[in-house]
Amino acid sequence: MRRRYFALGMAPAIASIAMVGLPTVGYGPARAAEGTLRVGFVDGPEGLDPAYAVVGASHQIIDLVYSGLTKLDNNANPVPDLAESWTADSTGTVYTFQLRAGVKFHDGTPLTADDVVYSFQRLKNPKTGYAYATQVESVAEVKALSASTVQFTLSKPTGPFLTFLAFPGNFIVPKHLAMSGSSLTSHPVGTGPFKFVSYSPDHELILEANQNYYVSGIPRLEKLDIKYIADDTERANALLGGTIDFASRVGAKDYDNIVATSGLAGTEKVGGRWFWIMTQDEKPPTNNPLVRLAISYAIDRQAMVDTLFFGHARPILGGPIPNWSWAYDKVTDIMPPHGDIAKARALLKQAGYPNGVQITMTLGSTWQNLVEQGPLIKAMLARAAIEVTLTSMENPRYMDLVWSKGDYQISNMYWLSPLADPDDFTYLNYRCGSGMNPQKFCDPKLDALLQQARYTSDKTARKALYTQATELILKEMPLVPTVTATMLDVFSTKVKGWEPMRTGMYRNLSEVTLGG
Amino acid sequence: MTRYLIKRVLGVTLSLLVASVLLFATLNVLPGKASTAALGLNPTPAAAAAFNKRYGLDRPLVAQYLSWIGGVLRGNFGKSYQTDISISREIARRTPVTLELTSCAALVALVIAVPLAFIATLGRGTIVDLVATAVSLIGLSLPAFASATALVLLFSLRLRWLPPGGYVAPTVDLGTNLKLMFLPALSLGFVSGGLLMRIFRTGIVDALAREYVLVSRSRGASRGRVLWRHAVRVASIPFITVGAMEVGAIFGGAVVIEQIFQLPGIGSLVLEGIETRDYRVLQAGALVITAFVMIANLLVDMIAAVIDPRLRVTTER
Amino acid sequence: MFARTVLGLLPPGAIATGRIRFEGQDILGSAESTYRALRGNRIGYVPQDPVAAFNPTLRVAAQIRESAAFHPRRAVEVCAPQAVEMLRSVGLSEPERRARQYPHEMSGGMLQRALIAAAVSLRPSLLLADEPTTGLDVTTQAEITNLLRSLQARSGLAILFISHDIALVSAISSRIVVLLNGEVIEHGDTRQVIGSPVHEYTRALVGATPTLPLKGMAR
Repeated sequence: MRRRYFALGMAPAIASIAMVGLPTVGYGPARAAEGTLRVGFVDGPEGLDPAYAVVGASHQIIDLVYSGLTKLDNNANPVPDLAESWTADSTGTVYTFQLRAGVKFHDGTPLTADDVVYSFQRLKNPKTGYAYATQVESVAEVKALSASTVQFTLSKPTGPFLTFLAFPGNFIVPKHLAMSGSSLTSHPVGTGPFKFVSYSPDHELILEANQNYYVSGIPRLEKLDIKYIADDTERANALLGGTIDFASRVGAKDYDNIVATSGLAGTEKVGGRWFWIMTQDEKPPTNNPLVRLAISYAIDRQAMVDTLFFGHARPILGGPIPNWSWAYDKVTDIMPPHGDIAKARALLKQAGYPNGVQITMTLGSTWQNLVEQGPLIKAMLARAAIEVTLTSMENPRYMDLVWSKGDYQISNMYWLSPLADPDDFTYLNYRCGSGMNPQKFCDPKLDALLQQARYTSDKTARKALYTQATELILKEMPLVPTVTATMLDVFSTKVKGWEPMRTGMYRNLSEVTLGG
Repeated sequence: MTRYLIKRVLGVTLSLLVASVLLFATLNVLPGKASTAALGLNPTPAAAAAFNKRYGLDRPLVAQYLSWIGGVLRGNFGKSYQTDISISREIARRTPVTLELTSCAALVALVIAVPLAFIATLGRGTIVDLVATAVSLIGLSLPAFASATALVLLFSLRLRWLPPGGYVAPTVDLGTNLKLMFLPALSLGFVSGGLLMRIFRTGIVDALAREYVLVSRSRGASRGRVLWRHAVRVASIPFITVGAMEVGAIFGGAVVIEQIFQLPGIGSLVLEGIETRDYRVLQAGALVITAFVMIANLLVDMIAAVIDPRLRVTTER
Repeated sequence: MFARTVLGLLPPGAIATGRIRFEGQDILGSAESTYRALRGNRIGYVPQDPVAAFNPTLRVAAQIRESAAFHPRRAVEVCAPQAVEMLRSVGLSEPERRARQYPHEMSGGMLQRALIAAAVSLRPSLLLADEPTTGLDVTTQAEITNLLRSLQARSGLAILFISHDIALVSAISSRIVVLLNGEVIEHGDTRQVIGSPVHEYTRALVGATPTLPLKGMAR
């Protein structure tokens, strides 16, 4: 069965800890790109127009074909991309971007400030139905000052603004094509390192080098032949059998075997791929924060890491902001790695359930890695007198029942944060009425903190706000974060120069070469 | 025979129309809206309205069905909600893959069933019969996905004789194409082969005990002669009937096998449609598979009618 | 079973003892090739159930021509008739149309005639008729009996007529052999056996038949 990494229409992100300098220029004079890299990805994209793309699989390809004003370096800091430089005024609300000269879309049309203005107007248009519209909520006006200068006016200072610009949904599209009604969804045209050639849904997507890419010598490959192989084992087998050269995100159980195979290698990065237990926060018994805390204390996160992830994961001991983020604060790490059953029982008693409590855990049957957590979570909670009944259903029904209607008691989910910004770990999951909040949790105090943290430009001030928010989160436990799984890529040793990206994307494939 | 044929073709056409209505109706009562799937969980009402208008989802269901089926009859399946790709083109591209896979699987089934059935019949009651029956039982009881996994482990990962998956068109490189088809066709055909072998063996043994076989031998026919002339001919009727049902099973199994071996056929298109709630893709793929199964059944029935005169006469009356 | 024993077509496991003399030789237990040379060629066979004796998927013509097809040399020698001729010779109307038909399109009586035609197509010296009229209605029974009688009159072939119907047997036979549980218990001239049965079983058989037409027997 297919597994979708980004079930909720959210974008993926990979984060890497290793910070190897990202060469933005080629080795001396431009060298002809050579070789075809055969890549095994998980899920096929569902539409390749940045404004309409919803799932991470789409953003993965958009990231290779289009470019944004900024991009995130391996350390997840926004750096210039289509914008060569920018200035911000003292209020942090007016940004002026100078566009890189000589950039052309894949159809040969030069990129101008008009394209940038149009791209953002389209995202802001309610008819577009941009799924990530909150990212451009504070963008009040975009105007072209000249053919190569664009000015953004924000309604309020926005902390992650430059990071948001590097999100594939916010990438720049060619105005003349988008307006003429040609479908960027099926035939994307951008300014990125790779040009779209063809797509056979869920089977194969072919990209070729953009010879006019504005970074000389990049991409080094002539062609990317992306095969979609949803099953982890089949993807690993394809690499072992030599039908692909690079397999993205293999399963934890296969990783050690693969990298031990001669001729194969792999990279492991801690990133924004995190798992949590969802609780229905409006209905008993999980409307009581003490019950939710009891669940959190009953979970032996280290056991989950050891048995389900074969060590390729880290327990989350505090809030959802991962420990590699600049906004992480160690004081919030309060959960014992192995849990605390006595405390869980005491909390349950305090909540008014001295004899324990019975709850149902609903699982979406397509997500094998989530389904296999069920029995383990059941066993752990049983030790704290929380008796779990497991039930699973096929995904469309699961999405409807759990995510749209909120008709469940507990469930579980995971996603990959695409932006590696603390905002991305909190804003959607915890805010009142957010689509990513099937807990139906709502606390105006937390909302205010998250809102304030998003719309503050000073990093230190933001960090303090996130620490406050996390402390509140740990008291209320609106959902129960469990583990961060590392991201595992494996490849033939012929593949040289691959650096996994903290940004969660595969744009670094443009730097890769194929040796003999 | 001609009248029978016309009658059957009309029947298939009618069944397909009924199937199209059922498909359309069922998919529209399933949970989950297309707009939610395409636009994310919380689409703005304006965006959902624009989406529905763009794909004609704001019209009454009957009107939606009529315009859909009208397009289908002209060979236009519309565009995917998710990828905006022309479904007709995608189906045209994927049909040969599925047909190649299912034909190869059917061939494998026959290659397994027929010789094994003969071997078992000739060595009735001996160890040969036992071994042949055991092989068929393994085939019969081992699901295709399980044998597929075992085959990949053995032939691709251990022995490294065959690739574990992927697809190359036969027009590009026939040799590679056949190499890639071998394991999928084997795992898919093995199940039906096991069943068909048993049906054929039983049919032959049963026919050999019939009076007309004795009568034929009383006229001087050898054992081999009655086996060919009478038993095989008569046994091929249940064989073909079950074979017709197995055509459906092979097409059904192809959905899973295509996924396992990364073959870009109709089956993987259907799965994609299910996963993403892309009803247009799902409807199109399911309808095409239904049509294939029905046409294959029709062909099989025709062959059966040629062999057994009683079938066409009773139908003509 | 008796006819099958003569033809060497006993089911596996069945054992026949004694002797079967045919044309001066004991054929019981012969090699398969010997039997095959006899079957359809020197010995014709008419089974009990005409419908079951035809393969439903083959045309009648193809099946009644089998003897000739399996013994091609003999077929040339005796100038074996074509299917249409065979059907005509046993008195079927429209033999051309019948020849193209399938078994299910003909009645039991017609099929039985066709079987008889097939059995004698290579002019055998012996015809084994294994209860050939049991499944048929009275009128058809008479027709078949008459057909057999006239065949015998024409070609002088010996007919071994197996039946439980003592009245019928006494009417058509010259000699009678009475079998009980596969053993011969009495045999001899028909008139003698019917007239003064020795064995109790024969007596019971004869006694169970109210009036025996002890006249008009063939030879």
